[in-house]
Amino acid sequence: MSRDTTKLRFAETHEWVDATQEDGIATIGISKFALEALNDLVYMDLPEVGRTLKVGDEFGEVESVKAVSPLYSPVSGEVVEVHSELPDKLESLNEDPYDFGWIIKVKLDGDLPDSLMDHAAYEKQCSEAG
Amino acid sequence: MTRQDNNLPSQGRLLPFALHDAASNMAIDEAIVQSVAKHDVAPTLRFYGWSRPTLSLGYFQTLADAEVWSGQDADRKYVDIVRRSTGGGAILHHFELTYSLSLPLSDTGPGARECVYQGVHRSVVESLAKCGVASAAFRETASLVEPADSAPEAAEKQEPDDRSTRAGLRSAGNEPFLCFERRTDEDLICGGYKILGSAQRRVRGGVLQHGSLLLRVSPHAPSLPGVLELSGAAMPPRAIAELIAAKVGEVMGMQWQAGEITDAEQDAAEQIRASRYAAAEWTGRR
Repeated sequence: MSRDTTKLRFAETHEWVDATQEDGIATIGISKFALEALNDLVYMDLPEVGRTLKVGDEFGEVESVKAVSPLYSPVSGEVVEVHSELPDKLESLNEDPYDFGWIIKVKLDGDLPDSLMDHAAYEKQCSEAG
Repeated sequence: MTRQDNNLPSQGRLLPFALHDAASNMAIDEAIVQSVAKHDVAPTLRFYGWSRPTLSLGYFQTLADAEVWSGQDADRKYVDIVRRSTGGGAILHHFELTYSLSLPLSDTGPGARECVYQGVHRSVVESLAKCGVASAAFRETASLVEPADSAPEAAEKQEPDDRSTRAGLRSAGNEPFLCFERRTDEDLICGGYKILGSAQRRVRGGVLQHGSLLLRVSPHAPSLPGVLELSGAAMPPRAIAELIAAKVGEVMGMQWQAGEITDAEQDAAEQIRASRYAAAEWTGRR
């Protein structure tokens, strides 16, 4: 079943969070808007399972158009799963950023940060950015 | 790329051309972009050379590939190896001019700032033109399949397989190891060969852009001619750096003030050098 993007929360830095499950595990990926701006990803680095993240920590890196960009964690918690086949299938990430394109799962150590936007607010940010 | 479009201050800092070892060069650039991104210092343009011939790996490239390259010629064992923080392919820094441009960013848009590639490369095109050297962005030459009539000496030594280094002959498979054997839209082409390539690293609140202008051929990479072989123009690094700096200032609408790195940047660079660029763990992390 496809993920309902209207239920996702978004960071200003374009990571999405699905915290709709009641098990305290948040799934994180990169938004379609960001992937279109990144334009042709060629490399991705993922974190180790077990790593503890705080909001805003770098949890991975990507390269596109010869630019290396960090991925920032939108939540705090422990990385419990990484999508290890993703770096070898980046073309599929572009095609399906919200389902196949999940990157990490994090066991939350508290509530989601207030700074995360809902879908409507994120759409507004993207439209203002052009 | 204009100062107004990017909310940049009207004055930038221009650092004097200097030679350093590989780890120091990379550490200084990282320390600078961190302080630029925090608005501790003005946007900074730096030109530099390398105290020894050095192969700088793109951030995601493997040391194993560098070792294969080193093993292809006995003299290449004298070439140092460092891993950059920026993307793209490996660059042999020998008879070339390296620059770094560190800018603050006020937005959170992801990925490359292509306008920065375009702005600097346009400045280099205009600077070279002042010296009688014609060059253009690859995207403007992509329909060119046949190389220029006057093949340079270095090109004549190429094996048939090396023809992929000419503009218009892009490899369909994996990217070549060396940056100057690759082609992207903003790369500068002269006489059918790439002479300038740049790459970026995004940091929180800023961007670092590295670039390399190939001034003449290196014996460690004889299939890659520089400006001298392609045009006959001998380019002293300091002189061409001054021309390019002035043009970048014009293009960005920014005035350069000659400056030095701050004590805080120097301290940070020494720490970054030891913990990262001079550390075997960093160079061999892939």
